[in-house]
Amino acid sequence: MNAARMIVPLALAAALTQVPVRAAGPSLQDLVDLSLEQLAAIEVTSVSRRAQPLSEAAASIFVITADDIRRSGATSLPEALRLAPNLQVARNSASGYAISARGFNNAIGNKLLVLIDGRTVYTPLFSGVFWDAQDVMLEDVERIEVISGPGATLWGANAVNGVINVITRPAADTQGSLLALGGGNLERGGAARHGGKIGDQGHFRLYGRVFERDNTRRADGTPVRDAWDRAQTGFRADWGDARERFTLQGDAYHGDLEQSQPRNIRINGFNLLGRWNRQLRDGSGLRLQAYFDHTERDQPGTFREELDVVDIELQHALPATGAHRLMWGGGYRHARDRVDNSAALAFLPADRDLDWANLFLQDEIELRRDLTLTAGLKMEHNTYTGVEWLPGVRVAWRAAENRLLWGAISRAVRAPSRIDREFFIPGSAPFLLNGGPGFRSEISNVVEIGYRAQPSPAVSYSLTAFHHRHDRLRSIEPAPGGGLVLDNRIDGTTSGAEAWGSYRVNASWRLMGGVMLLDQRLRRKPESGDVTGVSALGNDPHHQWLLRSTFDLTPRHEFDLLIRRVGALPEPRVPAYTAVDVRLGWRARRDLELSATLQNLLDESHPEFGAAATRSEYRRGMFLKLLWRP
Amino acid sequence: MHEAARSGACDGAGVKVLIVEDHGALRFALRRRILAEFPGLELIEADSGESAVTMALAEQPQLILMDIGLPRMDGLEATRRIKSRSPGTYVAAVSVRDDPHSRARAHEAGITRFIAKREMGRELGQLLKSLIPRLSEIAKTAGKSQR
Repeated sequence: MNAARMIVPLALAAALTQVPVRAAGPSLQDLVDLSLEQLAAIEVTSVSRRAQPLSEAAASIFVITADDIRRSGATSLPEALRLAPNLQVARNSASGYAISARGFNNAIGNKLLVLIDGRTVYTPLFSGVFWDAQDVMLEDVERIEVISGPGATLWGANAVNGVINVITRPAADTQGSLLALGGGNLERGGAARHGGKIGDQGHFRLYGRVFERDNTRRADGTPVRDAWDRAQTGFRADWGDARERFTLQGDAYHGDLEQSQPRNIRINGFNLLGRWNRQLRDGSGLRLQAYFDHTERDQPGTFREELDVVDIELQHALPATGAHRLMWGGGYRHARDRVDNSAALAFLPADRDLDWANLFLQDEIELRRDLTLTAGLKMEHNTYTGVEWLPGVRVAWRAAENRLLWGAISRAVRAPSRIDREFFIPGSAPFLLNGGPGFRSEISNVVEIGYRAQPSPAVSYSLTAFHHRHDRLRSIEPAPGGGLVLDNRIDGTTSGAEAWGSYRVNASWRLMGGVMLLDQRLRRKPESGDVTGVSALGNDPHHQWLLRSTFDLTPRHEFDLLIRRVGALPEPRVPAYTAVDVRLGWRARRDLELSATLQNLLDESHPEFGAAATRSEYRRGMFLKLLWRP
Repeated sequence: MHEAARSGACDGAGVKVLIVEDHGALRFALRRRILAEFPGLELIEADSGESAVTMALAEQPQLILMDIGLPRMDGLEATRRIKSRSPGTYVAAVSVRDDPHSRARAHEAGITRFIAKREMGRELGQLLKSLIPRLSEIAKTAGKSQR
């Protein structure tokens, strides 16, 4: 690792530990894992936009806890997402990930909404996520809520197949200092954080994090120039009381990614978010949030982009009136996108201003003490297609204590992005491929039914069956001039099931397993000439499963195991694989933890995504980590 | 569907084409463009000169679409190595540079057809229309004679 980069977290830690604040020691929650009862009582916010116990959430939601992340040995956000059995996570280069839920996985996937502390991390270039630009200090993550299935009624267009909501801890829960250092044969990194108090009712934390990952290799051992390093710093401040709370947080980052072109890819960005929560006298709750997000991506030979996003949203949760519990809100987002095109590709016009505005209303109706119906409607306006209506209805029946049967019918929309309308290959005419000026929104109508239960203090599980009917999916059609144009001439269905469960064998041993089954039936519409579109869209495994074991060998020693099995991808073909990760943790002192993680133990390397000739393999790795909370 | 495929004249069956292009977006567009017109042909891909040589010698494609401006081993050097071992392979170059000197160097390396990248949209179609049916016919004939 570049020594100068390594110094950043060390210096930050050293400097911050000199700050004269009344810092608390590490919270007990930092150090112990959650019991199943605690897990069921975890409050989630992604399903209904208000805090509710996980056991009452009428959706296919899986929660990755802070302890799950710690005991997985994950070193980055995408790697932590592998813990969710309802997500497909595949890596095809040092920094490249394809992540989705319920299929349509792609390096530029566009049916998943990702939020980090309420900030939508989304590029209007392709309605997806540049995963190399997203990072959080994993030690400060409280939980990651992963919903598979649509969340459009509350979260808007693009929450078609799922929502990932990364939630970091309040500053009050990250008091004191923390230093994390780690290194292995494939990557190295370090992070430092310090939290303190602001007056009587406020808390803050500052953090810095760096890491670097080495070049990857092809199946034949050929090295690929895709090594990258990244540095990020940020802060969070919370203050107020139960009646009124403020949050101000921000991050800034820089990354450098090698590529086969002469110059490296450079990414930079910063964001600033403010949130105000107020409990009003009438018992209602008001939430106002605004953020600014600036990102830069200079990808020599491909494009250069500067994107500024301003987003503001208001949410008002009214007090329960009779059987009704109403919530309404609205939001506005403006994106200013500036692109420098290349000979290879172009976005035309290069510069674009885009606007989104939405209003939503949701009513939770208590039909009986044990039966709740939640009906919601979102109206969202976007620059390309105007108004989109996103309705959803959910029913939850608490059949008994700790048993919930739920069902949902939803309509989700994937609104066009710049790539759908304004994308051209090569960068100047005549074009081989161009965006479709008439490209419309993709539509998914979804039916789900699920059951969640905790039949005993030691056992909990969740089962979901789903059926998505898709229309107007993206196709690439032959155009009269001999080129290709994007259109909406593929439809079809995806059906399947998701299940996971947890079993506490005894006080020191917990098992967790999950499985996803997927059946995709996509087809060209009769008027379509896209002969490869169906296979390109549906390049997903028919099944995947994972099994985790977390075992406390002694009060100070941990042995953790993660086994993941992912079925074969059809086209480009990727063979099925099984990956095994093992972690050994040792709490040397109350404030010091050491761990060793062996990743991908079974094979030297395996591919996870992409065409054989151009994809990298995911290699066996070892990572040693020191975690110090002085 | 493109004309050739619609007419049923030739879908490219029996023809193997290697696309050598280090830029993922261009590789993607070339793949989809070629398969839209000739869905029956077999497409393989390489993103470097080194892997192009390896794949060309192992897979024996009848047509190679070769990007000249590849890092490390460029398309000219890759073509020389391929042609020295497999002289019958048809190599068409795709190049950002389009000047007499570049064209002359391409021909010296063994490249049969030179396509400027800015003209790729038009010239690629012409090349495919003229070449794929011929290569497909040759492949069919060879298949019959082997039987």
